[in-house]
Amino acid sequence: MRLSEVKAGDTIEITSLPNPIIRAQAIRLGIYEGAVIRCSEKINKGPVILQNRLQEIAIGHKLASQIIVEIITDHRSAKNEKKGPSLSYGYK
Amino acid sequence: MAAKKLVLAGNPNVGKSVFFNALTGIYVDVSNYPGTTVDISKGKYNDYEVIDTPGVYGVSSFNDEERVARDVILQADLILNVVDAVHLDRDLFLTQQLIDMGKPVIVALNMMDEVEHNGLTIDIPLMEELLGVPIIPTVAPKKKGFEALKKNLGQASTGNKIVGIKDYLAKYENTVDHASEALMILEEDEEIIAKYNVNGGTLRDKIYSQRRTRINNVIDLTLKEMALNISFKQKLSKWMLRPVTGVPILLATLIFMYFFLGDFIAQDIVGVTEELIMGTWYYEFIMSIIGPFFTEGSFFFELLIGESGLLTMVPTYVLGLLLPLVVGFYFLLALLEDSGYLPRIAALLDKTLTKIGLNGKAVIPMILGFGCVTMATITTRILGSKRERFIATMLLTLAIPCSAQLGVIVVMASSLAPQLTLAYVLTIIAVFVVVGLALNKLMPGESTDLLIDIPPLRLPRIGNVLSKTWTKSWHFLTEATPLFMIGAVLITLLQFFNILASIQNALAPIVVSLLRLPKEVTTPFIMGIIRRDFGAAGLFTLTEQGLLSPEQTVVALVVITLFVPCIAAALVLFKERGWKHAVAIWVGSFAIAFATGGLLAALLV
Repeated sequence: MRLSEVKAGDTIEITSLPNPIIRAQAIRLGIYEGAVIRCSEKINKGPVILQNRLQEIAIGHKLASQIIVEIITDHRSAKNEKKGPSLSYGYK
Repeated sequence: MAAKKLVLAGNPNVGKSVFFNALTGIYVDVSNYPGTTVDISKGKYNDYEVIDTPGVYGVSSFNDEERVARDVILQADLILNVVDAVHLDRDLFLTQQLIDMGKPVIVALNMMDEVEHNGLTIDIPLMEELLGVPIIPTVAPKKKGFEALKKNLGQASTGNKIVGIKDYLAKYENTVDHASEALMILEEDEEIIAKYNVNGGTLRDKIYSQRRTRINNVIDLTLKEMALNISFKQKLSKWMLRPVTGVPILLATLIFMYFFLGDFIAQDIVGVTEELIMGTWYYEFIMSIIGPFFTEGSFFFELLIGESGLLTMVPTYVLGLLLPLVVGFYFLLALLEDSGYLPRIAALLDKTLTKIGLNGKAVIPMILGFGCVTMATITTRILGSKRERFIATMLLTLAIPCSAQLGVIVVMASSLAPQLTLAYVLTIIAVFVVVGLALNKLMPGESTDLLIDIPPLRLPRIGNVLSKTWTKSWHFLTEATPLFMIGAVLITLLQFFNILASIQNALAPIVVSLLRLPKEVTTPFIMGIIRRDFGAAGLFTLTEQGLLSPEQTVVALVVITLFVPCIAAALVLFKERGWKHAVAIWVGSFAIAFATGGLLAALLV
């Protein structure tokens, strides 16, 4: 699915980024193919905010709709767990 | 022997300048980097030549800042890498890149006080061992760790490169002047590839992801998170981003700024500085000193202490009227910058700004534009495409009044009936929106998307805020004063030789017939070309003399707001946008200003 369809609270894995320039800029901020990361906020038809520890990244709607992701933990199941999943990526 | 070059490198907003100042003291040479608008500071510390670089996320050539940082880093003998300890995922990527370049590196792990507050612990000895470079924990505003840092500068070491990179680097070792350039070639840096005319690498993706994986491992091994309850800061951050709460918070912030600037500074403070200090005490003082030497009405009397005199009008406008407003604005701006609120506003307004062909990032030049269009036009460089830079610059020069001008406008608007103030505000907003929408429809190409890093919220540090305010206000004084003096001489000449009257008559069809204003308003319009706020100040004097009706005041305010950028802004405009775009913006803003003013005059006056 597309990153633009993700809901706040979902934990996702990034599977594809659109082009080399975006890839190079995003990887420095911790967004790369294979990264497991949580969507902390989502503005309707606006930016998606991804959070990794204290670091947050805002991605505009159009760019988000070009990024392909897979849901790892749904926001509903994340709510049911008390503490939520560990956010430190590197361990999947 | 030439001094060793110590280069400071780090991500944006990690406190690099505090380290630079602590090392170099006050004898600092700030110079423009050739071919860019990026300034580079140089200073001395013991035997080192210390050079600062612009904050970047990595060394490459995606924008001017990165190119400048890259060139300075390539020349370095050793690198002091300042790292934000609560932002390791982002910052260590650059650290590892510097290590891969083969430069001796020492890391200042800054903001250690916030690490504890956020429930984190970092195993520094282990991190040193993994990266292979010395790491000194610091808290920059409290100068904590600075002594240790200074003592250990000589310990900077080349560190552990990512696995396998050495073999790749060896391929270009004999081609390049600086060993570090080999890495740039491997990472597909077009400029370095062109410099040596070699076949470029195809390894950027591979090296970047290997570097990412390595950094993730280092962080996983050294950083421990303790479960903390969601802090107030994090809640506030969420409220700022969500439209339902974010829009009211933004409005409240703007209203607070309006009252601070428009009420407190523009009325209370300016009331004292302009009327009492400059208008009465200073005026009487200067008249009693200079007055006796010249007869009233003679050329030199007018030039020095006449209505537009160098010693009367210039200091009164600059110091009495505008300086308090400028200081007030830059104080608020420094608070916004330091708190980390700006990128959140960018994310909140991204959706809206997309409609006028910009992305959320454009909020930053727009807000800066309220300070000074000149600065803001330079800042449009952060926008991703020529198209966005053109749209943003057009809207900036057209519909964003600068702080000094805004202050004067606020004072004048506050004496108007509420519905007239509203008419002014709505007209400016309408022009902004209509021009933005039209440009987005008409301009070819596509705008880029938002991809920004949102730093944690911080309580602004007062020392930092004050020093930023001081630097920018001083810049205003040095930039504005000479232009005001030229303007004063020009206006006095025009007035003394009766040229002003002929210009007023020549422009009567526009000013009197189209805008339905008294012909005296031509003078502030001419002043406005010299500097926007100069024009607004001139208009202020006319209303004080009771020459304008409230309706006419609104028309004149609208025209002077939309009106051409001042000389300084126009110069930057030509430099930044090239002459074609600059002329389009210049003529365009003239046409729109008079058309809108004429329309409004027909409706109101």
